[in-house]
Amino acid sequence: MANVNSDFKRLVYARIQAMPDGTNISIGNSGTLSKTEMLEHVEAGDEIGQKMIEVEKAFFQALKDGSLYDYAD
Amino acid sequence: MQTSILVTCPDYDRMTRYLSAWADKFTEQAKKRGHEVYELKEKSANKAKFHGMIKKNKPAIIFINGHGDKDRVAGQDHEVIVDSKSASILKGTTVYAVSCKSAQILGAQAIKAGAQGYIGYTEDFILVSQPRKTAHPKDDKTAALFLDPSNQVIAAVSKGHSAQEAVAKGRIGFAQSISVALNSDVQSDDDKYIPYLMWDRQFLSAC
Amino acid sequence: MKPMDISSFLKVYANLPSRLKDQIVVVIDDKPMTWNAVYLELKEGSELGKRILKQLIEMEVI
Repeated sequence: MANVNSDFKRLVYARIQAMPDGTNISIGNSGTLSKTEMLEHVEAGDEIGQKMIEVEKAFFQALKDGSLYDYAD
Repeated sequence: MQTSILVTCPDYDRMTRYLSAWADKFTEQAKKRGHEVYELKEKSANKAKFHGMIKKNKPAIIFINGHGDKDRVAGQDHEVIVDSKSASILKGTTVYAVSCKSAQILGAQAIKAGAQGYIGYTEDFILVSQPRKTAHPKDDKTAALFLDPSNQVIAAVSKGHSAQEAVAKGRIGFAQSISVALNSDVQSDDDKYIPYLMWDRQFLSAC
Repeated sequence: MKPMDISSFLKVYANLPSRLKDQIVVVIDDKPMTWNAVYLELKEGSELGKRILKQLIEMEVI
């Protein structure tokens, strides 16, 4: 289980690394994060890092179950 | 059909700057349509003025922009303008709150207190933006992917749609943004932000 | 040698728009790989492909 979690964390880290350097993400009350800050949070596994992983998990689930296409024309 | 709309537009960090810029886009259109629009901008987006405006003008619709939590939403400088204890102020209105998580508890409390409808997000609202556009947020095409669908929600409410119908319109808006981001003919990195668009779409909710 | 069953991968992969196929889906041996790169590896039935498939299943990506 620990391996799966760290594999997924590495995946999320790599996907954020692939974003343009100037990306800014504002997540709720956590303020606005630069790409570098996002990577730090994912690496640290803190609350914000966990949130980013949760977002990606939901995304991959939507790819798997096809709900990516919900509400599309 | 004309109606009255109260809009809060705090502006003290990046998120609120962008929310207020898009609220401005909506109010411009709303005024052209002949709606009565009351705006609480920047320092005016405080609790006293918010409550005062509602009591005096009795708006049919309230469009809240700002930070929030499960049981509260904030105005300028994180001041809480309405929470579970003061939810009765929303009685008789339809509310759309672009605030984190407020549809979890505050929304339900508002309905219980007699609000006609409460639309919000049951999780954090996430916004992706381009730093070069800070001075002109309305020109930020990446942010538009997130905030245009949000404006479709309030536009639907102002046209008399129910909360559920407005949420459906918002979700279609997010789906359209996802389609735009997926367009293989366009050179952009917006496809990398699709997980965040999907997140906002998933947690847009009517109480 | 029994070929790999990549049907669970193909089910998701085939349904992805082209821009998503270019996105990273796994990191193996510290190297990120896109859906397209993984498809090529799985098609060849390589040992690396087997390891990738296993990781994708464990991560519940497919």
